[in-house]
Amino acid sequence: MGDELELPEPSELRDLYRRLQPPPLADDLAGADPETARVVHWMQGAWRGLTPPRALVPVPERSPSVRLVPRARIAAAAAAVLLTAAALWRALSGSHLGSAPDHLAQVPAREPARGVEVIDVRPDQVELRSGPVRLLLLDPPPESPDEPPRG
Amino acid sequence: MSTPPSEAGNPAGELLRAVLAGAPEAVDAWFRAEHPEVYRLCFGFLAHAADAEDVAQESMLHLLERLPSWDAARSYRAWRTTLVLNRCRDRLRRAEARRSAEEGAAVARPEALLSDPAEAVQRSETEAVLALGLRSLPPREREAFVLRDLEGLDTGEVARTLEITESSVRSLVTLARRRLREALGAHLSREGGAHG
Repeated sequence: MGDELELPEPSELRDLYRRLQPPPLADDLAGADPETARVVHWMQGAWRGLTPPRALVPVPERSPSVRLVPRARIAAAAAAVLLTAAALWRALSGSHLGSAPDHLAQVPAREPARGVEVIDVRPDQVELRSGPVRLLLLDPPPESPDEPPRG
Repeated sequence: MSTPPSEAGNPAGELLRAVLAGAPEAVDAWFRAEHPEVYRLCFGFLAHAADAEDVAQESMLHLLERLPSWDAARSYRAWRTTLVLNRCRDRLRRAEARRSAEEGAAVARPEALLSDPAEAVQRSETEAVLALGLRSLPPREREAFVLRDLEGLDTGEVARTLEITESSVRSLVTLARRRLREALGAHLSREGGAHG
């Protein structure tokens, strides 16, 4: 094999290799072949013609009226807790008093309003007086059996 | 957050400031302006209309929530694209197993897809073919193609968004274009390319 190609020195090969430049990639569509360019142009046209669906526009969350809602809820919850606590406290207090009937018996009964006098008591009427005002409480007369029934 | 810049393709800085202040009418205007863009991104990344609708809505709420943390020194558009991309990737990861089972038959040829009477309406057909083309791409190629060729970002912006090198972006875009030509070229030739 005497006609073998005489290779350059490895260092020269390396230099040649380093100087190699790849062909430029067709970044610009103008460099593409006509068929490819036609398909891409069609895609671009279809892309621009896309019709978006209706968007659901949100109500801004940071508006003051929106922020009041959680505050109102918190206030309502706090009030409910307070009322419940008060009712519970009253119930517990009541049960405690209920266990001591002697104590309950010592609570003075509410006094009748002062200034009201019983003037007259009859089987069918009671007459009361408070200062210049007189009050006459009358029992209704018994219904007559002949009276027609009311509407 | 400092003053938002008013760069091309971004909502006006004034609008963003009003959104950040929580003005309801500003939120409404911002939402209506941004939603179509976000939906298109989701459609591109997910290649699925119903999923895109869901993720676009979620992404809008997420964007609104995260807007105060946006660094105005950074491009608003790039920030938004990254956030939407991450939401779409999450969705794809979660749905991957389910999707492969449900849509085994959806790797259909365009003619099979278009023979469905429900796809007869022009717009639906266009969307279906668009989705089919995007679905023919592996996720990385799809992302690069959507951002470079459909969104129109330059190579550097795509590289920063995807956190890859610019040469990787070029490779992915080139492969994606080739794959799309194979997937849709014959169909679009038969249709006379009338959709575009």
